[in-house]
Amino acid sequence: MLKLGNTPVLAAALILCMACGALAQAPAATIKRMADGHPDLSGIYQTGGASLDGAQSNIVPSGGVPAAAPRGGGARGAAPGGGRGAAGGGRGAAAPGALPTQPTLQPWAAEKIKGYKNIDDPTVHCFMPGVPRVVGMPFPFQIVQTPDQIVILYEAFRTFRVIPTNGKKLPGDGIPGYNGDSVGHWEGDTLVVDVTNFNGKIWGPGNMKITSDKYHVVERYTPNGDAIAYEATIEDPGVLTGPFVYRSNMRHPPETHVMEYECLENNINLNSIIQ
Amino acid sequence: MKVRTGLLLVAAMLLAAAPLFSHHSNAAQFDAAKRVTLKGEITKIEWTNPHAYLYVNVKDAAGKTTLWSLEGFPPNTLLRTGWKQSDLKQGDTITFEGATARNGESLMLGYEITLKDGQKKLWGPHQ
Repeated sequence: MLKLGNTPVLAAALILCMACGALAQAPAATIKRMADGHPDLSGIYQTGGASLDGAQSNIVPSGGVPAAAPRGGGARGAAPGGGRGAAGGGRGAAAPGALPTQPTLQPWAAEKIKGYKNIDDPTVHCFMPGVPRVVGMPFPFQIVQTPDQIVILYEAFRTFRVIPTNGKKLPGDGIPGYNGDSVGHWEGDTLVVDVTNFNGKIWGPGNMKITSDKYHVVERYTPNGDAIAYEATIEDPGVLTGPFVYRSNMRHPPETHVMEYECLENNINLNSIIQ
Repeated sequence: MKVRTGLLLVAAMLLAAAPLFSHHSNAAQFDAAKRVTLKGEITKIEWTNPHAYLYVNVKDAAGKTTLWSLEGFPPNTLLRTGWKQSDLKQGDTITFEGATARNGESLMLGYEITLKDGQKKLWGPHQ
């Protein structure tokens, strides 16, 4: 697992985050825009993995938080800390920038996952990782944007999400799921997505190997040059002692397209997973 | 430029310190301390998800043959990192290096494969 207790790594992360804070201030004029004036986030992105960062690169472990996690920038009045709902600010909650970047589980939850092994990870059995774990997978994903909705097609675990941005919820939403229900809106140049109605069967980022149906994510997508600074504020009252924030940097991989990844095709190694 | 160079260095440090991704934990399944290099003949190639597999017959000094399976990246990642399906053929003799399975099976997480023409290619993530 990621050793964040490693002092040099923490120091490096601090330097990186400070520097990225400055770089994340993308001039509004340089942002590619839709006809409606909102940033055009369309394109293929990836947050890590060998096909993005080279053969020796590493990326998120099962549920892990990416090591290189740039601070989301607040372009044109879109402060990273201003998400809607309790997880993203409002209702008196701390802004994401002030939140821890690792989850702290309530004692009962910490005790429950003590005995968990790798085989207990839902993704080992090819279930969808959910939000935001799917963002950290070492596979590309494609954002398709229209004035009324954004669709994200993730190569990992055949996940797709439809995110209305016109103020309406999708008809039929309401049945709890691995990816929950998403509703988006724009705050300046930041796309804010409120995700609720999870099924309590997924793992969260980091050591959050347990979630409940109260799991709640507020995502913020802020254009940062050619990339998108991604920030997800997570809360799960009853499981966590408080909210935490997960950050990642969505970059364009070398020319590619989203391909098929049918995890169940040949998942033959379960027997050799002994830890 | 200095800031950019510094960032790259820091990012490189972070990436070097980060754990490996697989759709499962590699460390839980494979022991990086038990890293071996073997040579053998390919008997089967599976360009499948969630992992590609190579099956290779390896003959030891006593003449005993063991069938090893080499788990690798998913095919999409292999293609994106420069592999072509035509790089591997049944019957090819290859040298391969990787971390062996903790449960003692003749299974490894393949790191690097040396093809019959001497070309070296990454098959899976290093631990």
